[in-house]
Amino acid sequence: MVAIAQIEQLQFQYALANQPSLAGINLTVNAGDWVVVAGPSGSGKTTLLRQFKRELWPVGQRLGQVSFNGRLLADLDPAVSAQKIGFVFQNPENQLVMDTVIQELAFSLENSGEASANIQKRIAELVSFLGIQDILYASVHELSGGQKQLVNLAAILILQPSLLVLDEPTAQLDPIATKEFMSLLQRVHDELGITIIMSEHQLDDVLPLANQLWLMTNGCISYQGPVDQGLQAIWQQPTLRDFMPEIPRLFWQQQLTTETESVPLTVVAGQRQLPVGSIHDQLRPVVVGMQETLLTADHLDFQYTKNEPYVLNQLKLTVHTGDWLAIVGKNGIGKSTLLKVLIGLLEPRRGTVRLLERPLQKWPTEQLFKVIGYLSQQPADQFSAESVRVEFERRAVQLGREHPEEAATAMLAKLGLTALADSDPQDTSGGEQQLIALGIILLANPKLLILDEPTKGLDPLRKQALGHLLQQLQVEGLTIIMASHDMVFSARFANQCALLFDGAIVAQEAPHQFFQSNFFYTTPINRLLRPQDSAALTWEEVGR
Amino acid sequence: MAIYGRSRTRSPRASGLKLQLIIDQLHPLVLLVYFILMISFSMCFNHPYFLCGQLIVIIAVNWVAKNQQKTVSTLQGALLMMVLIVIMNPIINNHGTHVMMTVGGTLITAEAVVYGFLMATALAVLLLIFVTYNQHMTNHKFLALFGGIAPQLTLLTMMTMRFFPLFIRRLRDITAVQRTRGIQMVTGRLKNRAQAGMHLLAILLTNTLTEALQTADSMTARGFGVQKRSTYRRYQMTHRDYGLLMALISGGLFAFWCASQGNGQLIVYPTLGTLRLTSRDWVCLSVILLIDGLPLLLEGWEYLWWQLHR
Repeated sequence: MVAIAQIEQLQFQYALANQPSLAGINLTVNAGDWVVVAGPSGSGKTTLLRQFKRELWPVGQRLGQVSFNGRLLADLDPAVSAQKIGFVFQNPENQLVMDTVIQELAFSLENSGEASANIQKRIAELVSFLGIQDILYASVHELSGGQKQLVNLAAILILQPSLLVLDEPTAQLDPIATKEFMSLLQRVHDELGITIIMSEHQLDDVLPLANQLWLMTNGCISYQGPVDQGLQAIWQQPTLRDFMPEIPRLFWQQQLTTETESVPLTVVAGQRQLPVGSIHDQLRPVVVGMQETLLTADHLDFQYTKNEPYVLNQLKLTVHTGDWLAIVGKNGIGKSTLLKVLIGLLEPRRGTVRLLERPLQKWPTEQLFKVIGYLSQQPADQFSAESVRVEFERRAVQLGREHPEEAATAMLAKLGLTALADSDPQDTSGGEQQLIALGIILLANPKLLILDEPTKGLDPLRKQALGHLLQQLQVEGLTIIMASHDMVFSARFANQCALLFDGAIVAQEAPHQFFQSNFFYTTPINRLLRPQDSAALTWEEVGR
Repeated sequence: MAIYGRSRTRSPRASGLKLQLIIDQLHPLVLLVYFILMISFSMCFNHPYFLCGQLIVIIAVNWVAKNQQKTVSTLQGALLMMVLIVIMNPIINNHGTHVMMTVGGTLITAEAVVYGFLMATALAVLLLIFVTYNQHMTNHKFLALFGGIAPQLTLLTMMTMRFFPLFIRRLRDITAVQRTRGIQMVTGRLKNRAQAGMHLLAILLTNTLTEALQTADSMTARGFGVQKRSTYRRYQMTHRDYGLLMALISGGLFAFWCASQGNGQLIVYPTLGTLRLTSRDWVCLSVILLIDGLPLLLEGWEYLWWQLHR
């Protein structure tokens, strides 16, 4: 086996930081490996990945060596480094430089001074490999998130790299786009022999494809080796257990594997290994909302411009006080639009939305948004202050609280953000921004909370914490409407699930009924246990 | 797989493979010459036959490009200005020898009326040329022309073209979200609204700058600035492009020579001349109409080819 990249005794400390972000790192990547890096947010995954690409080295003090193909990265020719090591970032939008796909592809090659005819040829072969001819001349604004990430990958592949580093490339994508991206990566890995190092929160889709797993905790590598033993290593650290994908988690939890077998990662492998009749359901009690109606939508029609197809078409929806409604559906099907229409940020073409029996138009804006809290997909849009505490205090003052400082402190404690009180909200991680934005909203004590993809980009630990927090608020009487493509999260926490398709709500039921009748659109555990007539949706709902 | 399928905007342009006219397949340089010639013709020749001929051809060109809606709306918009010119010119300008009437002591001359009509028609022609121009000369083609001359500027323009719509979209998102926080510009006192506006812009700037840092990372990661850049030329000159370019240039030179000889001009001042055309006028007119009608000729030829081969 040939080592393609190596890290020896690496320690890294950010400028202005008072402790190292990475310490004692020794790693070897063999040519043809597919490495998955897992670990909680803030454990240094991104910092580590950036060490493999000299152009992206963070500013700070670096001790130890990083080498690529037997040569020190610091001595590598800049042109070689740019072409042979590719880096794909998390956010699909921000990586794009040009405004059409073909220009974006050409941009990479123009940088390395390729002749025009050569660029033409390289684009031609890449387009044939990826099958993106249909979007080649499209403007990047017209692409979906999945397509954008595909273009980002294409713009790297066109440089013919031998090492591909990806930093949570699917965190912003919906599950279908994630699967498509992964199967494309698999082709890139298998057919082109490109070595892959990627960090990921959601291990369900990627672990069956990878052969190496690295676990990171607090800036150190706590495990490196084959995936199988890696899962065992995760299991042995109780704080990391939430990282375990659903199916292996079930097998570990219930001790369903024998000594000789390895833990299954996929539905089909799981079904083969699961002894018939070995398990029974322990379904979670689903909270039933009160009978009092909070919000109704009646025959809603919505379109963005004249003569365009309707995004919402004759949509009907009823939400009761104390419900937690999860609206699932593919990206771009109109979930965000529906949420905005429900709270009056967009005006429906026809139909009415009633909140507490009163049509939305009759609510004064100020009063309306004290009853409704809205968390958009970009939490940073909420921010306006230079520190989290000031942010909360300002909101408390705006709401006319008598003791804004106390209200802010209480909210910081409630969300577990006390440690971040004095940092700039813009500098915090995606998951933390989500919580800060939630705090701003919760200060108003809203009756109805509207969440647009609240789990996007969260690591499993934070996701779990967010779920429990919202569940607590729900018990206290808060009603939640959430658009999500995270099926497991919806199955675990919501008490109502609805599927949005073709502009209308096609089904609205309690989670067990809802997912039980779905075949494709359901959780991995449900798929696994379907032959055994089980209604369980998550590993917690299975007992022996 | 859906990832390759239709994009979420459901726009027919999303695929980039919409139905193309022959004129859209030409090299941007040919297009540029074509439009320069059309614009100069509409300004060089003021003979009513010439102007009306050009007007009819340019309407037909727009028609073929399925631009009916824009053509009609442009003509509607131009109508007001045309009426204004037709009315105002005789009032302001009372040169000429054929007095038609006097209005409140102002002489209305036939010359001034005719001149007003000619100017108005020329204006309509010019406006319609720009409708065609916008249809065929996309930003990309325009930039491709300058890619070789000023690559840095072209790159900058391309990036701006990406960022501008992004900026607007982000501002819309931020406005919506901040509205739920009670910060809005729709109601309230002017001072408060202005403050809210500044507040929104501040957030927009902070957020987009943070995002731009990531874009910069992505550029560096792909070797931007490592060595001298090359420019990818998407459009190659073909035989057809060279042929058409030659035809356009020689036709144009002939027409300009005719113009310098006084062909295609109606003498208006001081005395209205004759409408009669000389034989050279006729030749010049046909050359001009042939050049203006280039898209029609190309489409017609295409139509014949497909008809004869079926």
